[in-house]
Amino acid sequence: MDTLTTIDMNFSAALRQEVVADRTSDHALLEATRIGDEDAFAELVGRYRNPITNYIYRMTNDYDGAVDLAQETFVRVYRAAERYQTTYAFSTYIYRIATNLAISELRKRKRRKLVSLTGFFQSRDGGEPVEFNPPDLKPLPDRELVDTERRKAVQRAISTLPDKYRAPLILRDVEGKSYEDISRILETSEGTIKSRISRARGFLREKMTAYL
Amino acid sequence: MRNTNCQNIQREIEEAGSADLLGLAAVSHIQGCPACETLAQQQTRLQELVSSLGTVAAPGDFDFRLRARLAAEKPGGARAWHLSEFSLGVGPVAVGGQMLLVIVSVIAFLSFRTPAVNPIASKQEAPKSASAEAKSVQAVVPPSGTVGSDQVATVTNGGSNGVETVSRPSDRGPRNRGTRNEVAAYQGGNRFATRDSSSTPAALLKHDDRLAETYPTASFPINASYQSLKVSVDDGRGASRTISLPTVSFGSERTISQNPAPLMASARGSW
Repeated sequence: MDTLTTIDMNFSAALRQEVVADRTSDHALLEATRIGDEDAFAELVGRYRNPITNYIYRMTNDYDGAVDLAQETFVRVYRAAERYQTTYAFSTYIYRIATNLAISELRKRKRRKLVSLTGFFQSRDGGEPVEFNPPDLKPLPDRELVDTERRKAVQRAISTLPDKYRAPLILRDVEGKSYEDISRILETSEGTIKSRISRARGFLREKMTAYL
Repeated sequence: MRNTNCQNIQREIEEAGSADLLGLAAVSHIQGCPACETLAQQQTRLQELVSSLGTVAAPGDFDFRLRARLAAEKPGGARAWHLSEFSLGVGPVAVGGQMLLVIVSVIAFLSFRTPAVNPIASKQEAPKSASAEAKSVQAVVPPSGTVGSDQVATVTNGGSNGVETVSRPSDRGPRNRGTRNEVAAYQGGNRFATRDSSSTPAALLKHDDRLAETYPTASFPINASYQSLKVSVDDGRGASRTISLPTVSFGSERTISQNPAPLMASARGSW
């Protein structure tokens, strides 16, 4: 009896290890999600929630909105789990969804036509409107704050880029994706991707001249 | 030519993003071209700035909110991402509540429903519905062994015609007061009727040797009578109808009475 019990336990442990090993790939986790495995989906969420949230935040420059869109990304992944095809990597798939959601959000913002403070401070003689730029009366910040301010400036500069240049630049310089991956995510040729990244860097360089 | 060369090198610098990733030809050109060298330095610095942005993390309740969002979408047919705290969705609870309501309604309907009596229909279906007629009319058999041919049992009818208690002309011993005290309340036009039943136990029927001599081959009847059971029903408007029900034998055989027609209706008025 004891021998039988021991054998049974060993077999179970070995089987468990095999199952765990099979589930490490994103495809395997999504396949398990498709058949109702909630833990597999939780594992996928754990792997991609930070990168996706970060990516969408860099695209939209809005943290709360980025969190909401990141959740929407996972909801869509969950809903479409049965239709997912293993032709491409799962990361390509989820980044594509996140990109589409971020670009949709950016287009919505443009349609809302948010009022800018520029123009509120037009001079009385009817000259050109100037941007609101209050004097900075604070003492000189230390180096750490300078770096923080520089990063904020970079983020603001990125957020001013056109949508078609912003996504490839973030995917390349922030997320560290290869040109091949970026071309699959954005469903554009590699040559076009390289060209757009070059243009984006040129735009950024012009905006960030004071910091370079 | 130099401009063309500079344009190509500058394009290469922008594509590379950093001077470290430039080819040998571009590196050698940069060493001799101040403009391209400046561009390469700026591009390298910009790349460092962009890379230093870091990674923004999702909030701590990201999973919780995602689960709530998926659970909220569940009734639409999508798979539910169930966890212990979301094991009961709104859908199952609503369905259970509706089923409970239906069950309660059915029980209430059955409890308020009173048996209907239709003597005319009984007469028309006499040959084949005698037993059904006996069931529809709640004839109460007296506790004593036999019922005489001229005796009728008390009938309760909760139909809209109201109920009249037809008492037996005989056998009004003390023993029968409690058992025969069935009162049907007539509520004008209302089909609901109340009935007070005695709490005394049912009568025990015993085999009668005298009857066995008369019907040697018949099965032991359960109604303790080999004669037809007559039931009189009054519609409350003065018209009454007497229905004669045949005895029912225990088993599948039906006792065939020598009386003409097991169901006799003596209509003393038109309905």
